Amino acid sequence: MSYENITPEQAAIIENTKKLCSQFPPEYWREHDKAGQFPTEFKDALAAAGLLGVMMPPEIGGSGLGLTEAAMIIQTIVESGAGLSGATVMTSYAFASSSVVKHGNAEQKKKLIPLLEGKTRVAFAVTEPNTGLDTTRLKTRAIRQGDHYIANGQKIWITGATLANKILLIARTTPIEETAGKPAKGLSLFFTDFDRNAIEVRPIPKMGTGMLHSCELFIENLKIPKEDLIGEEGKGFYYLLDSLNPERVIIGAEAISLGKLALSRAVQYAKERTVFDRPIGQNQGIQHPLAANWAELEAAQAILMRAARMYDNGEDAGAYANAAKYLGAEAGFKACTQAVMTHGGMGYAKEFDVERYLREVMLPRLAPVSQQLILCYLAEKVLGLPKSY
Amino acid sequence: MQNDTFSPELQAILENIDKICAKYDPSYWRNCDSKAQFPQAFFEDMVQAGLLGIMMPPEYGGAGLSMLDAAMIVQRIVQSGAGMTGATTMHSYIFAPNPLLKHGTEEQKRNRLIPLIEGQHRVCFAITEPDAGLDTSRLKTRATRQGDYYEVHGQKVWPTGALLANKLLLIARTADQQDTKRPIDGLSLFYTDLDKETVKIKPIPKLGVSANASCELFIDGLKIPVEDRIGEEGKGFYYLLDGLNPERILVAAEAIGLGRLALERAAAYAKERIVFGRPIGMNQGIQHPLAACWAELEAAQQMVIHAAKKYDDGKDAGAYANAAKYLGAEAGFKACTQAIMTHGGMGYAKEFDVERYLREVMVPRLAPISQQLVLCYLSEHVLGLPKSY
Repeated sequence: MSYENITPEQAAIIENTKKLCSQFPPEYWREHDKAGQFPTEFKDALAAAGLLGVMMPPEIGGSGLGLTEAAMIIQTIVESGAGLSGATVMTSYAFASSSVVKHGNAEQKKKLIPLLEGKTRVAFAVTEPNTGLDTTRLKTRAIRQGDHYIANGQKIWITGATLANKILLIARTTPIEETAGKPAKGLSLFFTDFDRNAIEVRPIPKMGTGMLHSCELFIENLKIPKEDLIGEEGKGFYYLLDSLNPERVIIGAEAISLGKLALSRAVQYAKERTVFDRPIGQNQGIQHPLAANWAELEAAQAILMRAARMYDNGEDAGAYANAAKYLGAEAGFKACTQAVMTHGGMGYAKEFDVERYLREVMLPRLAPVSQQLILCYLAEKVLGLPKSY
Repeated sequence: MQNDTFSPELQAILENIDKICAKYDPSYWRNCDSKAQFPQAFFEDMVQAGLLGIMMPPEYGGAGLSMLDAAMIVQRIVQSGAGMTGATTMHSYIFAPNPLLKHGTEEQKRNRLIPLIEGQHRVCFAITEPDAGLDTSRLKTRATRQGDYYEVHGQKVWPTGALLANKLLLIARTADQQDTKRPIDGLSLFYTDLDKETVKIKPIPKLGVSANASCELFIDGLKIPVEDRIGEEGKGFYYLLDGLNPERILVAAEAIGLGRLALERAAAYAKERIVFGRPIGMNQGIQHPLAACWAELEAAQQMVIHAAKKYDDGKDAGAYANAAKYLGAEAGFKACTQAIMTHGGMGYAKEFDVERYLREVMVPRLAPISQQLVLCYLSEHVLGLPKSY
């Protein structure tokens, strides 16, 4: 990605990230994808370069950068060939714990230090199978008993749970019927040890990013010391809201860069592949769709940088963060699809990587929130249309 | 969900197919896919039901059915949940042995067609080469006549089922390109033993349909007895042309079948899944794209039926067969994509199968010929536009 008006600091960050990523060629990612194996060496390299805590404050070992810089780093990682798998290694560290930074006490924040050093791993446990995107309806229950809570329930899509030794868990501390019609009110956030005696972890076989296990968690009588409650009881849901916009900006950034990566591979192939005595890229049927992909990706990128800048300036970035996730995921999806189509039959072969990009780019379309709900948000908050559901 | 009306005979055949396919539930196919295991039990049932020779004449053990029958049968198999994993076990058997029937000697037909239809001959069809791509006339694999046999050297890519095959349908150059009037003149067709000493087979890791390995073949010194040549020397390419329209019609029918399957699953999920206190299918954002998929699949289906009838009537089916492949693959792809989008995050989990359908539906978009070249065909042959490449 080429960025406009970047500072020398940003240019240096991008350059360093590029250098780091160049040690991990396409085969590295292809093999880890195939084997479903966590890219430990890459994670260690990120930790050593201080990239696991880009947005975290310096007092816990972070580099205190903005969302704009974080997006640039993420995009550089994706475009190096690491794809969404590589980016997720970083995001699962760099962002998941931002609510601890904002609302945790000094003692709790200190526990983030080994995380940023890459020594511990945290699983971020929000989504539940029976509530889907209606997050306020979460059912996992944490009941206070003296100086601890006992949690029971089920979570789904928890990435990295197979390797985690910490868990950031949201659970209901007040029954839904006692929340006076405000179901978001009875939820609390905990940052605690991942006790495998009380949490059963089952990886979910899935379409892509197989090197990062996404899991179902079955929580049975997990004992959480009361010191592990983040902020106030019953405010957990509101703490999470802070992270929604950055998360959407980041996922949008990933999708756009995955599209850019796919586009660069497609363009390279279209130049090299000779059929009917000329490079296939000489055909308008090949080159026009790729040119359209470029235009769509650039448009999404412009919205994305605007959203990141607004967030960094403390403005309400909701509309643009949502638009960036929507546009980025669509443009990325189209570019990845077109890259497969450009490769012809070879696009189906793992050797050319574009099939992996297509599998991975489905994620930004589906997570952290569906494209449909993004459009609902824009329809209501930007266009002022009545709520449709 | 479908409105196709068929003759009572075809209706009875399709009901029988349903009965056979009902033995193989979604978990059977999911398992074959994730373990890359050939669906042997299913294949044996297909052989038992006489489905390998549906278009072959009864005197060689075939069922003597029409193109329309064959397309609807294959589609029904796909739609049962078998997807392309099921269809590719028998798809090539339907049309690829045509040159043998049309141009083989009586002895060749008896010794080869009958065991092929009975499933004793497992055949792989070796046409495409890595350096020729869709420019089939540029094939390089060379068969040199030496007394009463040919010796073959060269390379083929994408033959499906080569690992399990004992027979090979091979096209190879028997005259050097500079010695022929047109590059397609010097090619000959063989049906011979797949000798694993001289033919090295390497499976290609790929996006989908892993249960049926597609391979690279490295042919080094394969000896083919002269009596294994089909028809005249140098006419092989023309023999293959007969099979192009049937293949495109079948692929289109499969893509539509896969789209219908995905659409059924999406509609079922949209009815059952309750979020925000109501089924998600109550949202227009969910239901309208699915309704559009239905309309597009049905339109493509009409094109398949039209093309098949033209072929059966002995008319030139080129335009409609190509249009069917284009429209079927596009409609199927959209439906499979939308099925994932309808499932939200669960669409990414293998458990719900729709991710497999998306991986599989890329095949009809990429094979046997790219969508771009189909459009080139329509541009030139239907619209009379000048050749663009």
